[in-house]
Amino acid sequence: MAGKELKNHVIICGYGLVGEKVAEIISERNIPFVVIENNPDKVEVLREKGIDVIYGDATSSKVLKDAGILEAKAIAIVMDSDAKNLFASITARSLNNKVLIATRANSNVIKEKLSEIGTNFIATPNISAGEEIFNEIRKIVK
Amino acid sequence: MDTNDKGAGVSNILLASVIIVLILGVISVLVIFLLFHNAYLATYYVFQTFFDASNVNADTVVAGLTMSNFNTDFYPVFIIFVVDNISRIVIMSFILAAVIDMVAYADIENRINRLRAMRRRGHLVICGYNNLSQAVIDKLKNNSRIIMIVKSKNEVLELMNRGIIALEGDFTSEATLKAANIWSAKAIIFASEDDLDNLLGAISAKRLNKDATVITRVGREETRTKMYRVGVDMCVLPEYLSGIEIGEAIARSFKGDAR
Repeated sequence: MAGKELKNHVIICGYGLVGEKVAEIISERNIPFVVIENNPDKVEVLREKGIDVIYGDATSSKVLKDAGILEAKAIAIVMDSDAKNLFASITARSLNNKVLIATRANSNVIKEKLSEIGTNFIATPNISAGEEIFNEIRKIVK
Repeated sequence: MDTNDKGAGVSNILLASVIIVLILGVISVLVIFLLFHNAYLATYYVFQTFFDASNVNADTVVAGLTMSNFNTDFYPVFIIFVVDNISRIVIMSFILAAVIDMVAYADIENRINRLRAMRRRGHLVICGYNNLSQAVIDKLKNNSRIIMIVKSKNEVLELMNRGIIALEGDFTSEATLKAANIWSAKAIIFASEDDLDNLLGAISAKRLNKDATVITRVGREETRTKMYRVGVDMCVLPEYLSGIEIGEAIARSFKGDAR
């Protein structure tokens, strides 16, 4: 599929809430990207929108190669499961040493693990949101 | 024999109870037999003590048995004896099953938690148990001011181990919110991953307690305006913000290129 012909592109693994926002921002800057998604319904919707999408599991190296990981500039690994994100990060790093890996983690333990294996950027949606809530309620509930 | 068939078909608990009663009976017979070396006496006492549940007294039957002394009268009397005692076994089993049932399904934790929740004032209600609510709980040092509303029994037990009061129920229903003593809560957090659930919960919460600070988690950006419209004080958008963070981080790496 189209991923293989691309160069210096971005791969987005998982088109959930986070992946959708990442795709939005990247397409605003006219950066080419390809999505890996393992929900057939979502794949169908994305194809109708004209977005480059590969159906498969982003933890498998074959799928990542199909998406052009060897020539990619950056990869956003934003699936729901921490374990899958970790696994996909390891696979991506072993295939391409230079690619920028941006991922998400739901706990501090996973965040440490992810930075150990050499991911470049880690977002922690729930932890940051938790802190935000804490700062708000600290004034009210002591 | 009708009663026996009915009894066996009711439930597994009943079957287990029948087995327990029979085992107890057999053990008692054996113990008494070992003490007195008299099989007849042992059986007699065990039936007397264990199965004397109905009004039909086994004494007359046994008396008849003793007197009949294995003559032709023995067989009809024996059948009466058997039927009588089977019905007693069934009655005993029903009673035992009812007791086991009551103990197993009393839902003691939930009752205790509800009672404790009713006495709280100025507390914090957190709806939904997931990574977000966990992050909030981790940040709060004082767990005694939290009441959580969760979906499953396992989560209730898990939170109880951490010293947090948890109620099992659906937080979109007002009855559950009332059980969490929402009138006197200072802040209510809807942390569920479902925007619609959060919205419904927020509407009920605001109606029940206008003064409380209501904070909701929002997945889709367009839900945020709806949340503010129903009077929510603050929205957090974990996925949305992380998406922007990741997108910006990637876009930054492209800036250096001559594109």
